[in-house]
Amino acid sequence: MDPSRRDHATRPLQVLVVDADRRVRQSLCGLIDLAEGMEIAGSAADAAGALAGLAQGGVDVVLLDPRLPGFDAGKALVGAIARDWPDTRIVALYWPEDPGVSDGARVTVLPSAVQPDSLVDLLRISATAAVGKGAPPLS
Amino acid sequence: MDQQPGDASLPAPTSPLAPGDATSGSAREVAPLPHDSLRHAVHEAARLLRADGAILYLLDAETRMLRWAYDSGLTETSDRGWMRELTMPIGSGMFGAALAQRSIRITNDYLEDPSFAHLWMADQVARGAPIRSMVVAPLIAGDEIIGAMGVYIGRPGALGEQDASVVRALADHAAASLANARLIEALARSREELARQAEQERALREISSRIALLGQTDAILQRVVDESRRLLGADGAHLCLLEGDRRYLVPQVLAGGMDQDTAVWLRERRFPLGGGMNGLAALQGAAVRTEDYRVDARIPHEADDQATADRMGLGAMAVAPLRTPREGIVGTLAISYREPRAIPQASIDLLQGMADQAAIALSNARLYEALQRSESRYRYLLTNAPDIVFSIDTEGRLTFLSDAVESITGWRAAELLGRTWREVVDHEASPDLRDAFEAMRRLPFPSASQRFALRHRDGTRIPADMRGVAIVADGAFAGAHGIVRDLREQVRLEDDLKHQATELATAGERARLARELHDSVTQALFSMTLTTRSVELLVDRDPEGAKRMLGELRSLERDALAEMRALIFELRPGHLEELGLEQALRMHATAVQGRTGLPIAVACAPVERAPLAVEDALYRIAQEAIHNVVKHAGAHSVDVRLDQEAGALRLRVADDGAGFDPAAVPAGRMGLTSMRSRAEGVGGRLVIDSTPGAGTRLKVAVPVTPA
Repeated sequence: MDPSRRDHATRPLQVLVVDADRRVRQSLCGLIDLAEGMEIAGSAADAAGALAGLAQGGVDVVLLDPRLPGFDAGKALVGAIARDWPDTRIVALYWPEDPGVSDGARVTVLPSAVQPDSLVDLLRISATAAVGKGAPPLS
Repeated sequence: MDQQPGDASLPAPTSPLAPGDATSGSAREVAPLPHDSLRHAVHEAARLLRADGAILYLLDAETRMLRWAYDSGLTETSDRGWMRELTMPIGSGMFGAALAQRSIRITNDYLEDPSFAHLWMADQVARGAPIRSMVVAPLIAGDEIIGAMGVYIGRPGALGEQDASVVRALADHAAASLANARLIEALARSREELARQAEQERALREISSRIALLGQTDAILQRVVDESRRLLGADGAHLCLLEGDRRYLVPQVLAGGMDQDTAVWLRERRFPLGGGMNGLAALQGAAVRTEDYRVDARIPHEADDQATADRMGLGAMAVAPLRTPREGIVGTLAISYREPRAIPQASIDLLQGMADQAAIALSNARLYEALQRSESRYRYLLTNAPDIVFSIDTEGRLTFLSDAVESITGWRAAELLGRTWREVVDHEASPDLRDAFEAMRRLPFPSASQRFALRHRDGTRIPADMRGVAIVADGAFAGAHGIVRDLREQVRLEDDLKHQATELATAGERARLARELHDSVTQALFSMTLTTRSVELLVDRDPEGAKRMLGELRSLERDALAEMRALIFELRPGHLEELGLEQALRMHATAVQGRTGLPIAVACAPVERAPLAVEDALYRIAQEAIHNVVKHAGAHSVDVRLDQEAGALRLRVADDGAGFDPAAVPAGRMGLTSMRSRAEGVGGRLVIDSTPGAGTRLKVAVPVTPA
């Protein structure tokens, strides 16, 4: 249990951005860096990079586009985070319309074409929601 | 013992033994003459007893009456005529009494003797002869009563015991010799029987050997009917076939004294199953016989039947069914006698034997007909089949060609016969055919199958498929035969199919490009939206940062436009033709790199423009390969190379990603199948070299002849 999780007021939210698209990744990082109370903990273009970033520790929320290179890499990454970093929230920019993906419940899915300010707000809300209860997916 | 034949061969009693009689049978040359010994006994008895007369009666087996056979010393005055007419039953008269008691009898005065039942007629004869003293001895051989011999004197009390002994001795001797003679005769008859059986066997053998000669069915059936009549001593014989849905029998083959009209008339008869003798035999599936057809209770005796019987002269009759293993009863074989008579089982057996032969002949004939029909069907197929049916000799010379050869190769069969297969084959396109033939010639493999090409008379190449079977005689190659199929249509269909698959793949690619375009535009716009908001947030607190951010925004715009242009361009038909392969590859790589950030290096050696089909195939393969790298490999860089060597255009797409086991990829996944079929569609080859953890190298080489 990471004690920093209860200390949002004093410590900015640590966000890991995982997106295969370079442009989206860079612009997300730029925006989040400017947002109040959150910081970029790192960014990755694939699952391996994401796991490396998580391993550094202190990541509160992973902002993820699961369309990563490799077979079912996004889904596998979600499974790994849930298993190894149970306190880390996952916010998805996109979620495949696959009813078989049960991990969807652990993931907060942002509405498509979300506006930048809403994105930052939703990121903050989902990250502060009680872990384990599972905030209802936003869609 | 059947006495009938013996009776018939009795010499006329009053005439001296005919010399012909003594030599009429081989058995009689060595055996004592039976009736001569009877005559001898009568004469000796009369002479030795100085009697007035001696007389011998034989038992008629049929009437069981004693009938006169021989006498000695009788004169007209002694009522010889009466004596010869006299018949007596066993038990009556002195002769009958002797036989009934199987003992010699002696009387001192015939007419007064009360010890036997007198017959009025016999007494009359005795009175007239006159007969007073008489000795009568039975002639008995074993259990069989042959007859009785009497010796008489016209005086009473003239014969004593001694005379009786003499008569008995003579009678016993005569009976014994007669019995011997009959045994010998029976033996001779059994020899004749053997000879007859041999004759029957010979006839059956001859008929069955003729059966092997197909196509002579009518002659065989005629022979069966003729031989049946001859061997069985019948007056007529006929063979019927079951017809009309097995409802009636129709006389087909006839033998025996019958005028032409009757024969014609008979052939139009229909004997219903179960009706007459023929119908009965066919229905029961077993031989039937009748001693007299005209009174047989089993026959319906309708007016028509009687007319048939009268006209054919049917008395006794035997019919055997024609039995075949395949069809069951197919007809009947009948023999007939004009007069009523018993037909022994042996005759029935022989008739059935003959019927079986006829059935086999018929069965064979029908099989042969079926064979001929199927052969003519086979010939029909041969001449009308779309395939070339061929045979070649050991040297490969064509010895048979079906007519299809003309429509396929333009050569008539007659023009090619005698030439070798090598002259009608396009060798450039059939590199393996010669080896296959030589291999078959060295070691006759049972069969060979080859895809090759024929050469048409006009020089064009005809894709074909050959299936051949070696002909092996005494373990050595004796030639081959088989079929050659024209594959032009099949090849055309295959090409169409390939073309369609390509079109389908192209349609799939377009859909994918459209999807990518959509995603790319969405992502670019999203990025720009985010960056724009960042600029807004920075304007006040960090103008320098905002400026830098605006630069990023412009760069994003530029990239997005370039990528969209590229994607839209790819969607446009003919873009490859406009740009050329190298430029198209570069443009695509730039677009993908812009979107994904994955560095894609494109290196192109100077290459000539290849046919569009080749360029298109290579371009699509490169697209698919790059797509795979982006989607699956997780690579850090991609290397695309295009060059030309030894008349082949070569494309290589290599990455440093995850790699995979090509053998473990299911068919249809990762577009491997469509990439491969694209390469093969333009005569090229595609190789994928990959191992998990060691990246993937995809290589395509397509032979090109400079346009």
